[in-house]
Amino acid sequence: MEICRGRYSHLISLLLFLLFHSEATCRPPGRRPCKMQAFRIWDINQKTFYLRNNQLIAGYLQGSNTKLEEKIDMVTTDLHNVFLGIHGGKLCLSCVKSGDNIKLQLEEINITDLSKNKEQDKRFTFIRSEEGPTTSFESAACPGWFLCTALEADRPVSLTNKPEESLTVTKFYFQEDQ
Amino acid sequence: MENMKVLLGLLCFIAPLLSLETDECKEYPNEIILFSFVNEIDIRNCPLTTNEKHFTIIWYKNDSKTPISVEQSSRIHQQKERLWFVPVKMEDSGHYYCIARNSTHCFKTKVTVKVLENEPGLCYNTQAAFRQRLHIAGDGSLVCPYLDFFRDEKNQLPKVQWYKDCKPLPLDDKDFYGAKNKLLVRNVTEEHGGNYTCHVSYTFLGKQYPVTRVIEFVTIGEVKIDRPVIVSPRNETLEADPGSRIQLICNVTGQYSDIVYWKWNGSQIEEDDPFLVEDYQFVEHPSAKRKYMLITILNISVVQSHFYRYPFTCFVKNSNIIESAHVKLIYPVPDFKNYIIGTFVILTATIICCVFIYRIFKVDIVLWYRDTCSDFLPPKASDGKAYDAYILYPKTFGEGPSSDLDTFVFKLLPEVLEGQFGYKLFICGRDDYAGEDTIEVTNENVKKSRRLIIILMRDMGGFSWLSHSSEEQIAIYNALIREGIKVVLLELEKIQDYEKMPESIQFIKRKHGAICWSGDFKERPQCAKTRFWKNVRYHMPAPRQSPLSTHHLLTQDPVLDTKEKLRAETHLPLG
Repeated sequence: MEICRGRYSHLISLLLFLLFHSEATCRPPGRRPCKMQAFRIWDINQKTFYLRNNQLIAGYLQGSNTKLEEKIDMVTTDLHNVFLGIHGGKLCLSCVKSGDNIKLQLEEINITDLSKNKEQDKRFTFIRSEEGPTTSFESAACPGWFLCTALEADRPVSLTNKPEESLTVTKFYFQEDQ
Repeated sequence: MENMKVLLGLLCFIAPLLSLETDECKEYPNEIILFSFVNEIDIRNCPLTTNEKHFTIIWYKNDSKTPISVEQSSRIHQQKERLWFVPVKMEDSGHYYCIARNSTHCFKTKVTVKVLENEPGLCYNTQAAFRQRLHIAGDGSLVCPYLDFFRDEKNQLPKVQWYKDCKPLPLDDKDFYGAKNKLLVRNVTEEHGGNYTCHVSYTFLGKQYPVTRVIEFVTIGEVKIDRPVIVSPRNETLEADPGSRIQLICNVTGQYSDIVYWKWNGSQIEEDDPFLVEDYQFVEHPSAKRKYMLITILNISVVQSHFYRYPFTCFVKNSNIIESAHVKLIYPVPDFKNYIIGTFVILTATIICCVFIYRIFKVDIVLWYRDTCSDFLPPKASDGKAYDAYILYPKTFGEGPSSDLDTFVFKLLPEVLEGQFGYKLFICGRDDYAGEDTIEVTNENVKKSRRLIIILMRDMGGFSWLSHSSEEQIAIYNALIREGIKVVLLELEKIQDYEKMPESIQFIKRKHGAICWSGDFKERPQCAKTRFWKNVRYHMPAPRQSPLSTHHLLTQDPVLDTKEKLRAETHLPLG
């Protein structure tokens, strides 16, 4: 969940930009327009998202703290496939495997630069599914792993492969911000 | 136990010293303010997330170097990693630091505590409210936050009492149901919105303290999902030539978030499809607010033969609705409309041509028809007429042109009409008897004739013969008025000026025209195929007998003539 802020990340992203600019942007001329929309997200236990030490935390924000609430920026690439980000799409949620560990990560990349056709962008893809008024997000790169919050407040937002277990919440209210 | 206390006290003493000695702690910013109610018990976590074990958490008040006491009897104390206020006092507002430390790392963060009193007349302070949202018409829960700190020895949550706008909320009601730290709300309505408070009591060191949380319950308007409308296509067919380039346009009126896409044969259009490319144009709807015209164009660069097998379907999808409409490509069918128009044009042109041809070749056609078809037609019933035509010609008063007239009247006319075509003519001066009363003869024989042929010449004494001769007058009168006989004018010379002609002749000329003689007056066998003779024959009635039989009849003619003449003779005395 730590934000990847490698020393050369800017250089790399510049290089990637120069190399893949024509396809990398999700708004190539005449193609499906990149529709980034802001959504308010809160889990079924009423926890909202906020950033703490560059980590996405789910908790209860009281009074004036509400201004710290993070909204999710979403770009729909396919019917159910979406990219999720925060801070105007500048930080994107991804699923990263390191060994046996599966981790939710916030990466400094512009959501509109992600492409559904690029393998390296697959970790940013989530499969959005709806069940009644609630929505779940499964990582496309890590099948079976769902975006979740802990039952306890002020814990990092993470991924779980046991969505049925009662210790985590994988159902979110997800409403377009108006 | 006593030893432990000493140890803890020692630790409390050493710790600040350690913190002073070791390098600076990395401070994390923390903007979150902790709101607490005065005289309530409050327990707070250190907001530093320490996943790794072996971190020691120590709380400090303000910039004090002295850690907060771990003595439970102390009103503010640290218990495990948490900061306890038993109870909260107004003066507790301010900054606190929590420091997390292990052998190698040190982190710290500032925690701001704001102690609140209830707003006047209320059982809460809205500054401390947690905003919680539920959709109208759905079920959901409000949660009384941060109660985990008050679990009892059996890890059970304390009993929660719920209030709405400071009035106790009847639980087990049809709308509300309390369960653990949650308030289940059934079938949320707008009226459910408001300020809720949840209360628990916590007993610490034998004393009961209250805990209150304020929840601002915001009801969210029923997720009004306007059905997107597919304006086009409308489950239609489209004629397309194989191999041609076409565009299928899917025009949807809906929300910006709606997804519009084409499918063919059950699959979406791939980005690398060689023939199918989707194109998008999303524009704000000109009339509807917050609506968009979502136009997705499917460009088919080359229409393949298998494209006719399945329809192309446009889908529009939003969070819970999916709509579709299809276009089926069909092979173009011949355009019947064009065929009909073409046929009509051709037919019209043909008719116009026919009319023109008929007008030009009318005479020939009628004559040809008479020649060929008279045999097949049933013989006409007798109309009681004895002659086909009565020939009316100017009486000659001298030599010269009159000889031409005589040649024409007595030679050429009978030779062609009688000799070649079997007509029977009455020619005054040939068929009457000398001494007969001209008026009588004319009167009788015009009546017996089917046509009246008037021969006109230019210099006939100022044409006065027609107006003066009673014979002619009777003839014309009979023909025009009494019998309705058709009159045929034959000009032996071109006559420019009809002004001097009698009114009746002018009338006939206007109505039927005149046939102008074009040949000479040499007495040689006449060619009946000249236009003049054709025109004359055209104006003559259809021959009573076929021309074939004419020759046979010709021999009998004199007999008939004589019979006729005899009859005329016998009648004479009676007249």
